[in-house]
Amino acid sequence: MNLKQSGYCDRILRVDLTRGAITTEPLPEKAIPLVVGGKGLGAYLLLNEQRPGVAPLAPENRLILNVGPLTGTTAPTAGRFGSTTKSPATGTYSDAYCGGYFGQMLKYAGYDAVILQGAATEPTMLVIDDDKVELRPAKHLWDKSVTRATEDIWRDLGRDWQSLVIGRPGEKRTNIASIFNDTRALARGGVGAVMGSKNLKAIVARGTGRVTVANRQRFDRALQLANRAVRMSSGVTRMTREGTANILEIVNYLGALPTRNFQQGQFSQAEEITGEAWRAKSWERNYACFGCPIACSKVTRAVDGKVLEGPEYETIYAFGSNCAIANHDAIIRMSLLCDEHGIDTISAGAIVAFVMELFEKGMINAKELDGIEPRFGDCRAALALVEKLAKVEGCGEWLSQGVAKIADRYPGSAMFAMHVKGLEMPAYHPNAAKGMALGFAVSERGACHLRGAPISEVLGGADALSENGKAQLFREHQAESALWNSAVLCCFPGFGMSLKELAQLVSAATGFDYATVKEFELVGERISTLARLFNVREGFTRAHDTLPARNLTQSLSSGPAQGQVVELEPMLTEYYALMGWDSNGVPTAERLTQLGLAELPPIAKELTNQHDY
Amino acid sequence: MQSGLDARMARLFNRHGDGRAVCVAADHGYMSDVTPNVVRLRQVTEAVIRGGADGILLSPGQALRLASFFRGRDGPALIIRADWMNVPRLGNTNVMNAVPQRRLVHQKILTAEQALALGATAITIYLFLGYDDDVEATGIEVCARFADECRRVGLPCIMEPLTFGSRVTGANNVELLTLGARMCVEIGADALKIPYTGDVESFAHLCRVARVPVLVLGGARSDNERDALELFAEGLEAGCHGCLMGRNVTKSPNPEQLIRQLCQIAHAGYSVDDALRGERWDHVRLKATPAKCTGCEICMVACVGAHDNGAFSTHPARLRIEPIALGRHRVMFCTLCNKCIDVCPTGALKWHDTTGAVELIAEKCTACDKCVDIFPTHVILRSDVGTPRLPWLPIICDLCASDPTCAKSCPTGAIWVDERKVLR
Repeated sequence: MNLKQSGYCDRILRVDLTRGAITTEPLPEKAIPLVVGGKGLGAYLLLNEQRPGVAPLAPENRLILNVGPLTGTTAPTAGRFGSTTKSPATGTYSDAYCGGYFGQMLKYAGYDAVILQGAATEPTMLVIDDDKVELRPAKHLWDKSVTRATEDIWRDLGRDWQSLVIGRPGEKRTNIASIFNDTRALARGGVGAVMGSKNLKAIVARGTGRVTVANRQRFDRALQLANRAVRMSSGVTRMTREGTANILEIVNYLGALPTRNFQQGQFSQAEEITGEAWRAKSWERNYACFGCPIACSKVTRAVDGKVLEGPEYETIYAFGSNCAIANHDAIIRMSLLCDEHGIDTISAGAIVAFVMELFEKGMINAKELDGIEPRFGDCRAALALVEKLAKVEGCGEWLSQGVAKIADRYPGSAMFAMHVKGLEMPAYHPNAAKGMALGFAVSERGACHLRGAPISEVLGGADALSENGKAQLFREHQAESALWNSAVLCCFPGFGMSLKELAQLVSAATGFDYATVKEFELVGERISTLARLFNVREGFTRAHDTLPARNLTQSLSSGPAQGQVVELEPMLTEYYALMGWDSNGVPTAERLTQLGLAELPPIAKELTNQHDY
Repeated sequence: MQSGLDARMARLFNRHGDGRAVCVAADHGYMSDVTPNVVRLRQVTEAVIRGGADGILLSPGQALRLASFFRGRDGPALIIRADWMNVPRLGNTNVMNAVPQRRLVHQKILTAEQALALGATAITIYLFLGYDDDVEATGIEVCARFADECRRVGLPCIMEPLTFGSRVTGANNVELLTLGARMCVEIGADALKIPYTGDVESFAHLCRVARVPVLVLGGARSDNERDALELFAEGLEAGCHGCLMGRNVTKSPNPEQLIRQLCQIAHAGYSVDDALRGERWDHVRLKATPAKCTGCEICMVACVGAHDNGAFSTHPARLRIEPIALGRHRVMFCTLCNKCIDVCPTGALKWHDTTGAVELIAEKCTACDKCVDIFPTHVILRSDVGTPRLPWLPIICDLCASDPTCAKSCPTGAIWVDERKVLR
C-alpha cells in the first residue's frame, strides 16, 4: 500500500527541542488503516509514545499536531488540523481542532503529523519550509501578543507563510492558554501552555507539495454528492446566514442557555444576542476557513474600530448570558482580548462568571481582585477581569488556573464550580439537556460539547429533558465526531452530508474499504476508545465521569427545565454497557479485541500488563 | 374502487404515456415559514403549470382557492396534503422567530372523502421514522387507516416516509428510509414520496424494495440550479417514477424554467447538460465579484486538481486569492489582457483557436521570465518541473476548455463565467 498515493504524505516530523534534533519517520503502517489520521493518529501516537504519569508541563509531554488524508484536497473544510497532548488543566488526554489556514500548509509541506518533544532552553521557533526544517531563535517574538507576533512573522517571512503562535499566557503556561493561527485557535485545555513549556513561541510553515488521492474518479463523485448535500441543507444555510450564533434562540427557548454561571437556563436579554440580533446590528461580512463553502465566520467591529472574527455562539454565552451581559461591544471587546493575547474564550468567560457568583455571595472580595467588583451584568468589571486573564497580570495570574483551582481556595464553592475534570463547561445547561450532560461528564478532555455530546437534542431532534435513550445517542454521536476529527474536517458540513458521504470521501482518498457505514462508525468508536485508554492509564475512573452538584442535586428554579436535575448514574451505567466497558468505565479486553485494538502493537501488550481483565 | 384508483393513478403518472410525473410540492405554507414563494403561491403555481408540471401538491385551503388551475383535461393533477406536522418549528431549521416547539407532533387533518370533494387526484401523508417509538407507532396506525379510507373511494394514497430526529445518523439513515418505504407499501401506499438516499445504488435498491411508483423529493433549496436536476436524473437512473420537489422549485428565481428542465429530463430523455444548455456560449471569460469572496481558496485547490497529474495543492494555481483585510480579498485571474502575448520576445504565447485562452508553444519558450514578471500577483507562474531544455515553463490559465473549474467550485459566486463576445 503506497500511502503517498492514498491521501497521505507518509511522513511524520519529529522535533526534539531539548537536543535540537529534527528527524522524519514514516506513518505507522499497520495502525493507519485502523485510525485514519487526525484524532485517530494523534491518540495512537500519544498512547504509544508516552508513559503514564508524565507532568503536562514537563519536557517529556508530547505535543502532536495532526492532519488527515482529506487535508489539502477539495473536500469541504480541508484546511482543518488538530493537536494532541496531555492537558495541564485536566491531566487527561486532550485534543483540540482549529480551522484557519495552517492545516493544508503542513500537508503541502509534506507532513501528516509533527511530534514536538523536549524543551528548548531559549525562545525558539520551528520553521517548516517543505523539506527544509530548522529551529531558529525567537527572542524577538517573545512576550509579543498573538496579533503582533503573527503580523511580524508575515512581515519577516512573507504573506505566503502560515503561523501558529502563543501569546504571554502560553509563555507563562496558564491553564487557559491557546495556540493561534491568525484569528483561529487550538483553544482548550491549556494546549498553549504545553507549547510555552517547550519555549516554543511559533511554528511557521510554507508548503508547495501536492496531495494525491487513491481513486480520483471516486473521490470526485463522492465530493459531488457531499457538496450537493451540503448545499441542500437548511442547517448549513443558517450557519452561513447567522454563524454559530444561529442556535442561541432555540437553546434559550428550551431553557438550556446557561445564565449567571448556570444558575438559570434562560437569559432575560437573550433576544439582544441571538444570531438575528447580531446579524442586524453587528455582523459586517462573512469569512471562511480554508476550503470551506459555508463561511460561518462573521467579521464584527468594536466601537474603537478594531476588527474581530466572531464572536461565536460559545463566546456569546461565555461573556454574554453566563455573565448576564447583552452589550455587543463589550462581548466583542472581551473576545478581542482573548484573540489578541491567546486564551480560550469559553474558559475565560466561565472564570469571570464563577468569580461574579463568588463576589455576589460574599465569598471573594475586591482586594483579592485588584479592586475589581464583578457583579453579573457589569460590563466594565467583566472587561477588566478578562484583560487580567489575557495579559496574565495581577489576579489574572492565579485566576488563569481555571475554575477548578479557584474553587479549591473557596470552601463550599465546588458545587457551583462549573467544570468537569478541570475543563470549564460550554454553552449548554446540563439540567435542560440530558444528552449534553452525559457528554460533558464522559468526554475524554473534560466538559466538551464537541466530542459527541448530542447537540441535535436541543435543535429539535429529541426530548432534551429526558435521560432515555441518551446513552445510545451519545455513543453514536461520539463515534461520528471522532471520524470528522480524524479525516480532518469540520463537523459543520455534517449538517448536510452524513457519515455515509464522509465514509465515501475517506475511502476514495485512502483506498481503505468500509463495506458499510456501520463499519466506518466502528472506526470512530475505536478512536474514542484509544483516548479513553489513555485516561484509564493515567488513573481516571468512573468517579471522574461526573458533574458539579449544581447539575446533580440543585434543580433549576424557573424556565422550561424548572425542577430538573441530571440523573447521571443510570445514563453512565447504560453508556458503559453499550460501549462494552466494565462498570468502572474501563474498556474490557473482549471489547478491545472486537475493535481490533488488541492487534495494534504495542498497546495490547502494555495494557494486559497494567490491568487485570 | 379499483377502476377509480387506476384512473387517478394514470392521471398522475401517465400524462405523457411514460409512467412518470414531474410534480411540485407547494404545501409549505402551513408548516414552514412565510417566504415569498408561499405568499405569491398563485404566481408560482401559474409558472410551474406553464413549465409543464404534471402534478401540484397543495394544502386543503389552497386547493380550494386555486381550484380553477386544475380544471380541464390537460391541466396538472391536484395532490392534497392530508396531514400537518411541526418539524420546521422544532429546533431552528426553517422558521425564524416563530415560537419553537419541543416535541414532534403529527396530525391528520383531512378525510379521503374531503380530499375527493376538493378535487384531489391523490393525497399525501407523512410517516415519521426514528424520532421515538410512540410517534412511529401512532404514525403507522394513522397511515394504515388512512390508506384504507382512500382505497374505499378510489383515491391514490402517496405516503412520505421521513427519517427525523437525533437517533437518525449517517450510519442508519438509508436503511431506515428503505425500511420505511417497505413499511408504507405493506400498509397500503399506492406510491411513495421519499428523499434521495444520496447515491444511485442505494436508491435503486429502495425503489426495487418498494415496487410501487417512487417520487423523489428535493430537500432544502440549493443555490446551484444544477443540483436539483442532477439529483432528479440520478433518481430516474435508479428507477424512480418522478419527483415531488418543493423548495428547490418554489424558491427558484425561475420556477417555470426549472420545471421545464425537469420535464425535459423526465419525458424527453434530456441529460442534465442538455437541459441546462438552453443557451450555449462558444467563448467564455472569468468575472469576479470580490465582495462575495470569503477567502476559502477552494478555487485554487480545484484549479490545481484539474490540471497536471490531478493532485491537489494551492501553490501552482493559475489564479490567486489575496487577503487585503479580515474578510476582504482580492480575486486575481487571467483577464485576457494580452500583455503576456505582447511582452513575449519569441512569440511563444498566442490565443488558443477554440477557447480563446492564452496558449503556450513550448518549443518557442526560452524561460526568459518576462511573462511571469508582468504580474506580481503570480497569475502566471513558473512550473515546478522543467523540460530537458528549460528549467521551467510558464503556467497560464487555459480556461479549462471553456468550462472553468474555479467558477464551478466557487461556493459563493465570487468567481463566475460570462460570455466572451469578442475574440482577438
